[in-house]
Amino acid sequence: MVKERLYKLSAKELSDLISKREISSYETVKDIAERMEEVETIIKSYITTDIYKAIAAARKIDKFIYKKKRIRGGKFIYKTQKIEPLTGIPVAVKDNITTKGIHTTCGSNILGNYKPIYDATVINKMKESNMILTGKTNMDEFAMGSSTENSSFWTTHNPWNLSNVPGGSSGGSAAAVAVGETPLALGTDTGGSIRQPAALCGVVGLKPTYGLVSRFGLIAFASSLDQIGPITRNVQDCALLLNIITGHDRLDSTSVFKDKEDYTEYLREDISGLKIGIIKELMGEGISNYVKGAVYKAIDIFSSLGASCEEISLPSLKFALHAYYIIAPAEASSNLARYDGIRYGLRAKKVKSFRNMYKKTRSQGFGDEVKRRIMLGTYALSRGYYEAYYLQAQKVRTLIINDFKKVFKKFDVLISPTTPSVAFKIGEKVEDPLTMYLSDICTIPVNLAGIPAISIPCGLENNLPIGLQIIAAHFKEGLLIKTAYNFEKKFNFKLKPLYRKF
Amino acid sequence: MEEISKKDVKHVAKLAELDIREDEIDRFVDQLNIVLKHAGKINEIDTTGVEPTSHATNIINIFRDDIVKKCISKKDALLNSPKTIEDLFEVPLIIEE
Repeated sequence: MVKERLYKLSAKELSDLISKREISSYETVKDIAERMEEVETIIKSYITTDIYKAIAAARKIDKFIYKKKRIRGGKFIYKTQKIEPLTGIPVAVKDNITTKGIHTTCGSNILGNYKPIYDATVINKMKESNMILTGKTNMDEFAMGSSTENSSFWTTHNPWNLSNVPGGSSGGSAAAVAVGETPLALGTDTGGSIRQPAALCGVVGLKPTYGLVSRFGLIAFASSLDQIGPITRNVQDCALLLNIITGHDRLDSTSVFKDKEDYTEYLREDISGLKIGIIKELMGEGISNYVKGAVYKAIDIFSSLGASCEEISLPSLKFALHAYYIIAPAEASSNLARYDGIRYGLRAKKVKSFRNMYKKTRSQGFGDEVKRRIMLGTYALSRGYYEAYYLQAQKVRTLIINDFKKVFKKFDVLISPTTPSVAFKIGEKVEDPLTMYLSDICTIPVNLAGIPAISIPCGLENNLPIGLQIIAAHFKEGLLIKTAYNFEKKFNFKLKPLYRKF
Repeated sequence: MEEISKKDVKHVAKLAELDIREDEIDRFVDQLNIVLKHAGKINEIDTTGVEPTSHATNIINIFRDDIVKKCISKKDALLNSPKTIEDLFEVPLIIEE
């Protein structure tokens, strides 16, 4: 019998085999490296990889796993009896999360040579759990985009169809997971940047509650909206990775004090009696019919599992996208003021003066979309426009939060499509910012409210995946895991790119 | 909402320390107008008496004791700088003639 390639296995399966000492971490990483060699030139998920470093880390972990001690009677047993979950398992990280000594570009020329001098808290947590970094994944510059086309380096290709985008901004992470270049990845989500690419690549992506995962070491885009979260091939793996990255961090003042939960506990529960609300505003205009069809089929599945589904209206959601495209650029224009060419990053050559250095550096270092958003944000915050744009947007945000609070009194979770359509063609929307922004219409309200949501595959159209979004109240990640896991078991989605030869 | 003009874009670019080339300006004016026209629709919603939210969870004022801890070394702090001189960041002339 031909031994199955390890890259096809889930993190849970790999983890079980490693803890039974049937495979080593080294074998796992080596097979992932071989998969990268097969597909990376075509998919282009990663900006930076260091496979030698990953292999060295795996060998070190294997040494620990296989260390023996002598017991009475002269026998030897393994020194470590219980291997913690995800020990020796590879993980890819989006390139806006800082990694000590490893290039962290944020998808931008302005940070093209930046090597952080510290690790983000999530990186520390994964290292403490003996996980292995495969590399840093491609993204839209400063996470501004929905396709990876705004990356300063290259566009990642969707493994389901190479002429289509993988989504964004965490497109590199989603594509790498879908094609088997890693079993697990971290993404970041400001307006949908974990869930949208997860949907478009047919994988699972979860945006946690704002404050559940530390943002220390995450390069800021819009600080009141950004969150780090897992991208995986199934819900179980999502729960396992979430277990590792959550927890209070004194280095992030918006990190919440909360006891750590074991999200895998929720995998045991069923969903009979669960009350599901279908968001009316996200099932109407602008959503493709085949997407609506897939959501209705998902509703049938939920009903067959004993949940009740009912349509519900959140009127303020109509204005979510509008408010987001004021708030996010406003915060970005302020956050990105730090790129001045002095302490890190690019500095333009042949500058005449101090001010000239700022201007030239920023103009050469930032791409068009970043410049657009900086100008948009600067405008919205400027005198005479602040009340009409920024303040009004923050009031609309209150209305959105209130609408969610109201419906969560009646429903346990809410569902909607993750995206209005399946993955679009590369180049199709790049010159038309507003159309590009509209692809985040279903995901943005969640960030404004700071609540958690997960995207899971719920169908195919033209052999491209459709994502279902499940939304819950603050800190109800457990409910998301439970609901998504029950759906996943029944729906039984097949991830084709894993088995594809390119 | 009134449309933004070439002059507005130039002004905003100046505030944001960006150099926008003449041949890029028209494109930015068009694109920003499309987005602002869309975003401006938030003024159609009545928000009388609604408090603005700046942040989705209600955490305020996280305090900690002011304890001196080990900080990064000078060498590390300068590691990523494009231009340094001895143990300082080097910049072009600040006061212009």
